[in-house]
Amino acid sequence: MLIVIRFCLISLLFGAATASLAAADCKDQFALPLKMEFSDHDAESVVLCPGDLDALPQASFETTTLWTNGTQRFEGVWLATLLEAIGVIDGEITLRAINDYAVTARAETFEEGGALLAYRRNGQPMSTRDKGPYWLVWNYDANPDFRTQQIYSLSIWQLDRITVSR
Amino acid sequence: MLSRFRFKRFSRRPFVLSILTGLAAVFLLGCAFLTLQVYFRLDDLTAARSDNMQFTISRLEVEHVKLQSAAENLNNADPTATDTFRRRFDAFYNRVNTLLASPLYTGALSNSGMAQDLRSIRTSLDEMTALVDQPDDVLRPARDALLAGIAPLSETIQSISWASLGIAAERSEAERAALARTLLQLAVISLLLIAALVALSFQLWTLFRRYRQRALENRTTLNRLSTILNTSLDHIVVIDPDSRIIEANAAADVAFALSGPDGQRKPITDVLLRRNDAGTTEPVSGARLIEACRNGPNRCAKVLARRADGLLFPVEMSAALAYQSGREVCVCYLRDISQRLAAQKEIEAARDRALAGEQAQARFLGMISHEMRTPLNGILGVVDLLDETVLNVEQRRYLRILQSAGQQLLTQINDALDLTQAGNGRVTLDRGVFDLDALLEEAISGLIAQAGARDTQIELRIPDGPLGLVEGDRARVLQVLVNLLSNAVKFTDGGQVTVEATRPEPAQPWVEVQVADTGRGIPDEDLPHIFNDFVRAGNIAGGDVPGSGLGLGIVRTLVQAMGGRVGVESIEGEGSLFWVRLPLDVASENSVRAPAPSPTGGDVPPLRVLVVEDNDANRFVATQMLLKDGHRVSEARSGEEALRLTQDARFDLILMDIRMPGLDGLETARRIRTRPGPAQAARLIFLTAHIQTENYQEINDLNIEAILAKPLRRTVLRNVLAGRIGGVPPANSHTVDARVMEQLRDTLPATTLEALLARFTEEGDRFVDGLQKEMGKPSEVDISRVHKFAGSAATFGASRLQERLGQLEDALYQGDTRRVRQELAGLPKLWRDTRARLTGARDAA
Repeated sequence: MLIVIRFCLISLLFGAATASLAAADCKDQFALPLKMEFSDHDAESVVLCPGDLDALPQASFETTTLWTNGTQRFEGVWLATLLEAIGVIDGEITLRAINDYAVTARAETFEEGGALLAYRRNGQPMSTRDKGPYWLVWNYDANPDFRTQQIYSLSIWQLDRITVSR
Repeated sequence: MLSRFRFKRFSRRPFVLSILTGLAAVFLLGCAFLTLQVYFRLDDLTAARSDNMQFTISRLEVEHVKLQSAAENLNNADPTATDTFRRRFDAFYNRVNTLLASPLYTGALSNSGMAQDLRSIRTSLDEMTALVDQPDDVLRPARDALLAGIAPLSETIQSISWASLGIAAERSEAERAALARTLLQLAVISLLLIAALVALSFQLWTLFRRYRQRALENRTTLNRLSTILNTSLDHIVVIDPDSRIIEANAAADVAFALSGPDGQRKPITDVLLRRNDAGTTEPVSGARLIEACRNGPNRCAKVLARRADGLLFPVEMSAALAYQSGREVCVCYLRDISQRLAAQKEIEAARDRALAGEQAQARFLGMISHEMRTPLNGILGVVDLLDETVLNVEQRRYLRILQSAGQQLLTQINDALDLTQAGNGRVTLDRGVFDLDALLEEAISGLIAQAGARDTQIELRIPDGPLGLVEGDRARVLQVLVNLLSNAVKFTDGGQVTVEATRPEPAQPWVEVQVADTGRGIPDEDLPHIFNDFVRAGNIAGGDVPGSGLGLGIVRTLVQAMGGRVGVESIEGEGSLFWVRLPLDVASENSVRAPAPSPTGGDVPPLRVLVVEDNDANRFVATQMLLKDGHRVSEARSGEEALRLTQDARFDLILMDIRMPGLDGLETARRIRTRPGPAQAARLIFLTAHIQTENYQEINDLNIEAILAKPLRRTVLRNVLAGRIGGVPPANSHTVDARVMEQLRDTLPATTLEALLARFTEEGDRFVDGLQKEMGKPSEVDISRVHKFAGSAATFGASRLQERLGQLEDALYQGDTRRVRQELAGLPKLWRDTRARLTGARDAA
């Protein structure tokens, strides 16, 4: 199953990459792309749109955050799932926001069930003005281990670039 | 007391300990609580929920600056300028929104004007969004308008920044203070905890030292006790109710071989047995021991123990209850008493032997004395008779000596008899009333001659006046006084003997008589024994004083028998003082006065006496004696004559020889007794020359009063007439009287008896051998040898031999040669029989 998905995803990714050469925008004008870059070899960057991520196994949870009022429902894919889908199992991952805020961590930090690459909040796509289009969140309420300064600093919003250094 | 005190002191310790432990626990809880608080506070600090406000505000400023710069770049030809501006706008807008929405900041914001400022910023931004969302060609020309909206925001942001700084400072101050307070509390509680722990440790240390000290003392005591128990010769075991031996000392372990090969001790039932009432033995169980000790420590000597080799030996057991590990146990001391019991038995046996020996000796003495007295009376009788014949001066002098010596011997034999009788507890008191003053006079008068011979005066003093009539045994009192006086006289030469009699307390029954002399006295070392039998004072110096040494022994025995006391004080060389205290009551008015027996025989009222005797001389002597005492006498020469005389005449008493030609004495007596007549109830006294050999059984049937040995003695006759002597010796006509032999075996040591018997058989053999030679000339047979051999035969109870020898002696005495031959002929065979029987009797022992 996973192999099939992976195969599809790779072909899809390649397809998307060729498409991004022509136009770096997603079809949906509100949907901003996520750019995947590989620093250490010649692999092309990959631009993903929310529609691309929809093809991956979905995950969701409800939690409060330090930065929002009330319980929020987040939907998206585990970052670990995404990294695995593109064949990244180790190395350093650098996450960057539109305001150039950046954090770096080992790939294994983003385990499944931990870091969720959310692109829908309370059923709606997230706008750039409200922490969109991508926000890396943890289920802070479910696990005290997620309520640490390190996790809070990794909880990056307005995410638009991911760099993988191997 | 001491242990109770100790108990009190120690009992307070646990109280202190528990208090300290409680305190320590409380402090420990406090510490844990505070430590947790600190931990959570620190956790909060690490969580830093609010600490990034500063950062967020600073980001707000940065992002505002970037937005302003992106807006200024809108007039550039760069095609990405609009995109950049839009991203900067979104980032700034997002920051403002986040500050307003985040619960982290709401508290801080509401207390200041920051919320107001932020909301005004957002209002301005919301106004701009319409322009920002326009396409690039609309956006670019709106640059100035946008800048005009964006630039003034910096002032508001500045004021927010200042306000946030104040809030942050306040907050961190509060945090620090709270943390510091908690830490201080923690420190205090920790100090208290440490103090409590130190106090607790101190208490525990003190207790530890105290208990260690006690443990050491206990161990020392235990060691000492265990040494004592293990070195004890007694066997000590500790037994539980299931009969198991829990502990045992070394002595018990070895003696009973308690430890088996498997290391298990054998149960007490294998070791201890008890002799029950039925005489059998039964094992003693632990439960039974404990039950027996329930009412206090138990001692029992009826217990046996099984030694390692299986033999039983008697033990004395001492057992008591004790407690071990909360259950009752029994501590038993077992002592081997087999040696003690053996020693005890030996002592008892020795005592029994000594007592038996003493009794046998007394019996022997009594018997011998009695046997001696009879022939002696004969001798004295003959002497008396001789005295009445015509003698020359020299002969009379010899006769006097003979009389004196004979009398002395008789006295000693009588003493010995008295003593043995008294010693056997056979003193029977004959109470009567008598004149004590007269008795004293009489005692003294009897000894005046003897004293005079020694040039000694006897003085009687009765200081309180006459003592008068008293109640008591006259004869015994007289004997005591005479013995004391005779003793005093014997040991005093040319001195003074004083008799003083008093009644110290008039109302009391006691009379005290003191006999003091100025004689040689008694050495101190002899004083304690002076009243013992056969003891003679001054044995060394007094060799010249005659006497048996029995006198004072008799005094003591008689005085004790009467319930009185006797004592002596003496200074050697100056004299002695003997005193007796006798219970002699003052005679009451109506007491009958007992007549004092007259030594002359005058107390017997005149009797009509018939003397029946074939021998003229003997008949003459008897008649003369009786006539002199005032009796009326008729004579008969034979049995027939006697029968004739008694037919009509009445007689009070008949004196009859047993052996007479024709009708002998026995037959005559039988006829007198059976034939009705005036003499039928007369008193009957037999005379015989063979007092040892008569057929007493036959004589006894005749109801006679006495049987007297010939020759007759005056005093004996008088006593018989007065009724003071009587009785008939028991029958004895066996070859060898076994009873005599028995007596000898009881009396004499076996070796002595053996030697005596050997001597006797040797004497017999020699005598019989000698007789063979003398058969031809009977007149030459030595009468003294016959007599001596007869005496020996009597000693060993050879009755037939003694009888035959008596008859031989008789025949020799009478010069009857034919009878002598006749008697001699049977002797050798009789001797052989006797010897064989004697050996048999001896071996029967």
